[in-house]
Amino acid sequence: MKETNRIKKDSNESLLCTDSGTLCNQESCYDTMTISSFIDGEISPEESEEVKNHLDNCPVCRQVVDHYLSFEKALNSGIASSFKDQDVKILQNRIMATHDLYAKKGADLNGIQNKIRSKLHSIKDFASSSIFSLPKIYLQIASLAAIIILSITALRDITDVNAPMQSVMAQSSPSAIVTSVNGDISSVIILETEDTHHTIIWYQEV
Amino acid sequence: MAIYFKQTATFRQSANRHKKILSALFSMVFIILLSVISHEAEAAAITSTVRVIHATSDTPFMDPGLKDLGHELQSVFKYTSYRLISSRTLAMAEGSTGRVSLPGDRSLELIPKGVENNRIRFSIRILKNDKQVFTTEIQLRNNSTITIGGPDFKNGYLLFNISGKTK
Repeated sequence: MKETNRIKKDSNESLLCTDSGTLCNQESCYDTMTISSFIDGEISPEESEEVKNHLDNCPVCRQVVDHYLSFEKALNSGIASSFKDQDVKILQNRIMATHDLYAKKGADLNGIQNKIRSKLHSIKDFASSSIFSLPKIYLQIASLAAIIILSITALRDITDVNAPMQSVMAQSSPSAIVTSVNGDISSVIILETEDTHHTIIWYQEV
Repeated sequence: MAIYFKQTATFRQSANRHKKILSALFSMVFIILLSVISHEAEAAAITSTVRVIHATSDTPFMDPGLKDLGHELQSVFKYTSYRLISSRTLAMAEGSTGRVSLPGDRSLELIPKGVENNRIRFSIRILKNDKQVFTTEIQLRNNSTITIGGPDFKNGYLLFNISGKTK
């Protein structure tokens, strides 16, 4: 029997669960895998009953269920007929994997940004600590010119240093990150191919 | 009196020297700024190719113009025939709109919104009879492509393969 997993979070984090104002502690919420198993009927009847009772009072988990159901509905509609025989789980896993990649990428990019910031700071520190004997105005202008020149050089250096890393990331990240989808459409699927991580958006007009 | 003239001459010499240094520094800053601006303007040029593909379940066929994409499409879709209807390359500046006519009274609008971390931000709109039916915002990896599909057309479906390239 598979054990249901509750999300373990800081007990101070709580959300408004019902219109009546009852607070829903996220500790009692289920993780997405459990909810997915619940939808697929892969948990025991007792556990299923427990999840059902929780869903009656928790809009957060209900929203996750709605999300999964709409996804399943899209796959089972005409949209699925275009794709090869891939079940819901494979597509879900792909989408989850894509999300993970975005998260990893975001972390790496933060690192690059920090490197750029620290380089620029060190450049500014160098300029301000220089002991030129020229009058103040020249010193300011020279500092400005130095900052501009060194900034350009530093940014180019950083790009070069990170080029191999970007190349590795490029190979494993999706060809396109889809940040929003909208329109007169009944359903949409976003996926990427296994080999080259080519991003595909498939939508169905109303 | 002689001392006064000597001092004035020294002061003039010094002022002239300062002027020369100042003008040299200003020229240097101006040149640097100009090169930065021209570099940015150059970077803003974005080239995009939109390939319109007709996918059907007819006799197996792969258009030679889709050599690079055929395997990817076949790995995902059930269709057996992929024909290249049209291909158009657009050179756009950041913020400008590129338009491509599509079959079935449709058109595609492509707006490059900027380049960040080796990805080009695009806003893509698909219109049918001048009415917007689909919009998406994407961050396309430089020198990569995305495929958007779904509209039905002549016993099959239309796929739009969009590439993006910047310096």
